[in-house]
Amino acid sequence: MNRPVKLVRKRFNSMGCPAEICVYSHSEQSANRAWAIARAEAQRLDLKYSSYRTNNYFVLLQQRAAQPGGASPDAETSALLNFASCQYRQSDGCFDITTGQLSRLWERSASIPASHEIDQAMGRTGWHKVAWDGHRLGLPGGMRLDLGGIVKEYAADRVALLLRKAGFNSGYIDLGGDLHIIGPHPDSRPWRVGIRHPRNGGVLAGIDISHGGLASSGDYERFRMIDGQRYSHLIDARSGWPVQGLASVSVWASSCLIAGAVTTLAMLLGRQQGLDLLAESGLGWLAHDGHGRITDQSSTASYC
Amino acid sequence: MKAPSARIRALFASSLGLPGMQELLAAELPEENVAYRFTHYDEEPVPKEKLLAGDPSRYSIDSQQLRWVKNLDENYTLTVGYLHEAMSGSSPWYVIPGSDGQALQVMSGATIREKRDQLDISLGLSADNSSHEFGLGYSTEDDYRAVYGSYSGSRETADSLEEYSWGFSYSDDEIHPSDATEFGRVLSAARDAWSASLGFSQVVNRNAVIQTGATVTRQTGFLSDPYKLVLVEQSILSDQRPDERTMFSWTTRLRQYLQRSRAALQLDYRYFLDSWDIQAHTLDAAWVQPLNEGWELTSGVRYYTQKAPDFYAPYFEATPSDPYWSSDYRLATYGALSYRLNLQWQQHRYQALAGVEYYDSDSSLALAGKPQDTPGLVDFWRLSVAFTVSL
Repeated sequence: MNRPVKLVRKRFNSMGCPAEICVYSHSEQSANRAWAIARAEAQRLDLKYSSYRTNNYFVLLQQRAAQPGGASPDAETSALLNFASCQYRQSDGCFDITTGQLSRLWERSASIPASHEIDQAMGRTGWHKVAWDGHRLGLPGGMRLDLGGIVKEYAADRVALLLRKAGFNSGYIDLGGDLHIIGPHPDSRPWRVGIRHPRNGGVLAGIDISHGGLASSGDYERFRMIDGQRYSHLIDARSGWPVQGLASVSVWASSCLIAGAVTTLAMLLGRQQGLDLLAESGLGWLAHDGHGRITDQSSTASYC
Repeated sequence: MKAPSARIRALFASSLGLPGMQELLAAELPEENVAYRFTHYDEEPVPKEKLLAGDPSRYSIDSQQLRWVKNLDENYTLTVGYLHEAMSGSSPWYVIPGSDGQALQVMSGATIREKRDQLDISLGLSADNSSHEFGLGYSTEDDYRAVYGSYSGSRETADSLEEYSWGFSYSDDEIHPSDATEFGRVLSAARDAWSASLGFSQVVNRNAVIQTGATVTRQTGFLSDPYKLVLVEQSILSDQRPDERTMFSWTTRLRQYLQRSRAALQLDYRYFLDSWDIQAHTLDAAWVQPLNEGWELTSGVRYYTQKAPDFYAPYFEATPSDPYWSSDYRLATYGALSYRLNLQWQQHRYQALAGVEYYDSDSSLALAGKPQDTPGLVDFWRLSVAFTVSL
C-alpha cells in the first residue's frame, strides 16, 4: 500500500551558514530522521575541519604536521588533501588551501594592505611548500591549511549519500547555497533552484535540476569595500590579491564537490579565462559579469 | 552535453578518492533504460509510364524496435535489442525495352509478405579511458538467416583531445529462396562477410570535433539476388554477380558547435569504392538546434551518388564477356537527395522523438558515369517515432 507522501522542510545552522533539508516522506518521524542524519553529518565535518576552532582534528593534525617527521592524516582527510592538491595543479596554482593568512590579512584591513604585509603573508602561502606525498603531511612553520573551500560542498554530497542510503530518494540538501539534489519530486518533476542575482539580491535565474550538486560563488558574499572598490573574499595565491573576475558563477555537476571546485576555479581565473574554463567544462553553468551580461550553457535555465 | 575538459576530468578522478563518492556517483548513472522505436517506410509506386507488368505498389515496411540498456556495475553495460519488421508490396523483377526503346519495369506479380525478427545482445566494458564492446546477433526471416558477431573498441588520449577506435565484425548468412523450384531459383546458398575498421577523432578546439575513419569489408559466397531476373539478349536469366566483393569506405565527420545560436552543424562525407568497381560519394549536412524546455530540432539534407559496375545494365542487348549481369536498380548509376526533420524532446527520465524523411533518387542526379535508364529507382517516405524511459 502506498502511504501519502508529504514534502517536509527543516532548517538548521551548519558551518556558519543557514542550512535546509527538504525531503518527501511518509511521516513526521521519518522526516525527523532525515533531519537528524543531515545535521549529524554536517556537524561531524564542521567539527572535524572548521578553521574557526582551536582544538579540532584538523588543527591538531596541522600542529603535528609542523613537527619534524610530519603527521599521517586519516583516509578522509588524505582524500580531501589529494583533491585540494589536484585543484592546485588544475588551477595553475591560483587555488591554494594555504591562503588562510592572506584571507585574514584582507579581511582585517580597512584599506589595501601594505605590500610588505602581503609579501609577509605570501611567505606563508604556497601549496608547493607543503610536503604531502599522499600519506605523510609536513607543514612549514607558520603555515596553515584551510579546507573551508571544499568541505561544505563535500558535506552536501555526504549528506545526500547518507539520506539516499536511508531510503530518501526525493529531495535536496542545501548547505548555505551548496546544494545536492537527492532526486526529483515523486512525479519526476525536477527541482527549480533559484540562482541569486549578484547585484540586486533578487533571483537571477531558475535552474531545473533532478540529480547532483549545484554550487554558486560570487563577489557578493563576504566581500570588502575598500575605497569604494569591491574586493572578493577569494584570493589568487599567485599574486596575493583578491580576484577581479566574474561577479557570480553557478555550476551544476554530478557532485557538489566538483560543482564547487569548478565554480571557485572560474571565479579565480578572471573573467575571460573563467568563461573559457566553463565553456570547456562540459558541465551546466551560469555566469554573471557584474555589468548585466549573463552567459550560460544550459537549456534548463530560465531567467527572472 | 559535450565531454568534460581534461581539467574537469582530473578533478572528477581525484574526487572519487573521497569516502562514499563513488557510491554517490554510481547511483546517478542512468542505470537502466528502455527504448521503443516505430518506423514506417513507404516506397512510392512505379509510375505508370515506366511499368510494363505486375503490381505497381512497392515495399512498405513497418518496423518495431525495442532496446533495453542496463549498467551491470560502473564498468559493464548490457544491451539487448529486438527488432520485428513486417514488409509487404512488390519488388522490381526485371526490365525490358519498350517499343520506343524506353526501359520498362516488370514488377513481381503477387504481393510479397514477409516478416523479419532480429535479436542483438552486446556487452560494453569501459575502464579508465578505453571502452570495448562485444556483440552477437541473430536475424531470421522466411528465406534468410544471419548470425553475426562484432567487437569494437576505443581509447582516449590522456588529455581527452584525441580518440582512436577500431572494430571487427563477422557475419554468416544463409538464403533459402521461397518458391525456388517454381521459379528456377537457387535452392539454398550461403555467404559470409568480414569487416574491419579504424577511426580517429580529434578535438580541434572547444567548439569543433573532427572524426575520420575507414572500413574494409570482404564478402564471399552467393552475392546475387535470387529474386531478380535479367534480360540478356533474348533470354531472361537469373541475376548473377561475382561471388567475391571487397568494399572500402572512408568517412569524415565534422561537428561544429556554434555558440551564438547554441546550435550544432554536422557535416559528413563518405567515399565508397569496391572491387565490383562501384564508386559512391555521400555528403550529409545537418543543423541541430536546441529550443526551449528540452526541445531540439534537427534538419538535414543528404546527397548520394554512385557509379554502376560494368555488369549492371537495365537490360543487355549482347551477352557480356564476363558471365555476370544484374539489372538490380540498387547497382545503377544514379544520384539521390534526401531531406529529413527530427523533433526531439527530453525531460528528466523521458525522451521522445518524431522524425520524417523524404528520399528521391534519379539517374539525372548522378554526378559521374554514363546516365542509364533505370525505371526501378525508388523514392520513399520514412516516418518514425521513438520513446526512451530511464528506469
